[in-house]
Amino acid sequence: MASPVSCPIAAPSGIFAVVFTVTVSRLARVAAALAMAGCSAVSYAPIRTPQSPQDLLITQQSLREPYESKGVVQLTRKGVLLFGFADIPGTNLEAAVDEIAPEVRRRGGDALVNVRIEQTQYTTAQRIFGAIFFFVPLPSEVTINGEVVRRGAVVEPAPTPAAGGGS
Amino acid sequence: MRPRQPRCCSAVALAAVGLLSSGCNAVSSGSALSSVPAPKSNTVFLTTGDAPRPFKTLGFVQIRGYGVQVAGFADVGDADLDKTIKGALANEAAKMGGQAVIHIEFLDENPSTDAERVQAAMQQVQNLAQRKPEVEKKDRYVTVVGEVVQFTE
Repeated sequence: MASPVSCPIAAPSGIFAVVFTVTVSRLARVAAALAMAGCSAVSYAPIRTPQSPQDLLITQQSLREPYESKGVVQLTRKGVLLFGFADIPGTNLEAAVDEIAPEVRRRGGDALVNVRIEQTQYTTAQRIFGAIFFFVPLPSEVTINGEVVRRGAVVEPAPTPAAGGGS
Repeated sequence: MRPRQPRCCSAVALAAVGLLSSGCNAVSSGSALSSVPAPKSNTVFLTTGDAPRPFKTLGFVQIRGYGVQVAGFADVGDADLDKTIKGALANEAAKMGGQAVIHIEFLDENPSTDAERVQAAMQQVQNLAQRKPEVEKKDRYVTVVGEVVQFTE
């Protein structure tokens, strides 16, 4: 007698059916876990190696040479990811490094040391949700901070002569 | 005949997309810390890096400066990098008998971008125009942490 439901794969029966069901459900769970957890978010910011002493140095380390501190600075870029993936405002590590360089120069420094950097990251699964629910943009932010310094020995100002101290 | 959408709606939608996609910078800064080699002085040596001389650690200090930003532009309180690093952190280090604070880490937790400041100011103006007794304010926090040390040489 023919089966009322046609199926290209014959379903197992008896003890094999139990084993088959357990295996399939475990596989589904593993696949779901991999899909959710196996999506690492990766960000990077390329840094140009200084070619000359005038080039800006950006490092997470301390300087082991004399320097003059010019202050501390923090730059935060805020925006949203459209459709889960489109980072139009540029809230990424590269943009943060590019944006802080002029701030360092403006403060008279030629290096940013002891840099700390932090960026909002979403996994691929979260970004896909962002694309599906595109009407709720994902908030995104990147923060970079450090100490602005000028490399080289500190030049102490010469003592000013007393007023009216002669010709 | 299909009714025409008002042009203002599309303009508002475009402006919204533009605002959402435009990145805004917020820059926080503080004045100079200690330079290396340090000139002789009795003030606490402050650096984000290593100590310039051998030292012994006395402890760690964390300060969270709290302040309020009123109407987008007036900052009141201690949520300021200079006040937390050169003020509270240095004072606490001195109380502990420290001569320096090294490896200082700082974070302005929620700085406002120019767009956010303008938006708060416009909201305040609107409140005043409508005679609402509300003041647009935003809590601000700056956190600093450092290692208090005493030089051994």
